[in-house]
Amino acid sequence: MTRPLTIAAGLAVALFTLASLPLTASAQDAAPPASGEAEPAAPAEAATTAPVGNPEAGRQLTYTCLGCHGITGYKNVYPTYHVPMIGGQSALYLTNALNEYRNGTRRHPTMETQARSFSDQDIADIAAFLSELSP
Amino acid sequence: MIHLSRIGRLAAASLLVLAIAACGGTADDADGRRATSVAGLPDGRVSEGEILANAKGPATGQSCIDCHGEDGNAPLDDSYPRIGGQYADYLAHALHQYREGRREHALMSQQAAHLTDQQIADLAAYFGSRPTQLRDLHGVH
Repeated sequence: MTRPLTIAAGLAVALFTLASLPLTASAQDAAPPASGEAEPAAPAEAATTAPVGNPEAGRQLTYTCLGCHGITGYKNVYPTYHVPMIGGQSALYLTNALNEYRNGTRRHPTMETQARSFSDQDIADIAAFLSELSP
Repeated sequence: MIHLSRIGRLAAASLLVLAIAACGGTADDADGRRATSVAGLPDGRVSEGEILANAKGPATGQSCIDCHGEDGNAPLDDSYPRIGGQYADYLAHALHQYREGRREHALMSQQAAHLTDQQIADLAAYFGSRPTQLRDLHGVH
């Protein structure tokens, strides 16, 4: 008689532990979801209330673009085509382009890698600098 | 022995192809504005492209000019790019990306969906031949 009781007690303890584990886990996570939920909202908001771009910061950030976009007539390979002229495009177009590369909805290996290293503020800064250029 | 020499020739040919391909990623000032150079695309015809650029697309009821403006230089909306004088082969690449679903836009994906390679080449040649408001980043820092 004692043995089944011990097993039952053991099972009860095990079940309680198992049941309470996820509870504690979710309780610990309770604080982060507040900010965790705020984060996915940020990119969605970026479309409407994007950070204000600082052209001077954008000037510094765009040194990395020169390897391709700074060489007149430079060509992409596989497939072969000239890398686009991006100076003088609108800030919104440039912002959207970088966001699309970052999200992976526009495909280009180098540009996806570059865009993933940029914050929303970086993108706004880059777009502000490039959009002010003229031929 | 014949087999071996064949392999040798194949290897040499492969190396040659690789060597030629390796030349692709360099600057090319001389023919920067040539009509098109996306591999395998037909040559673009500017006059045909002009007609197509002004024709209403069946999917959207809009022409290229309706949204991108005269010469592709007066976009109707801030989110639309200036395309006048942009490199024709890049424009052709962009239309191919839209057509193949590798780039998405509510209007452009539909506009490009039914374009033939020849139409893409013609449109790219036309807009590439227009004056531009764009520039590369050479010397901007």
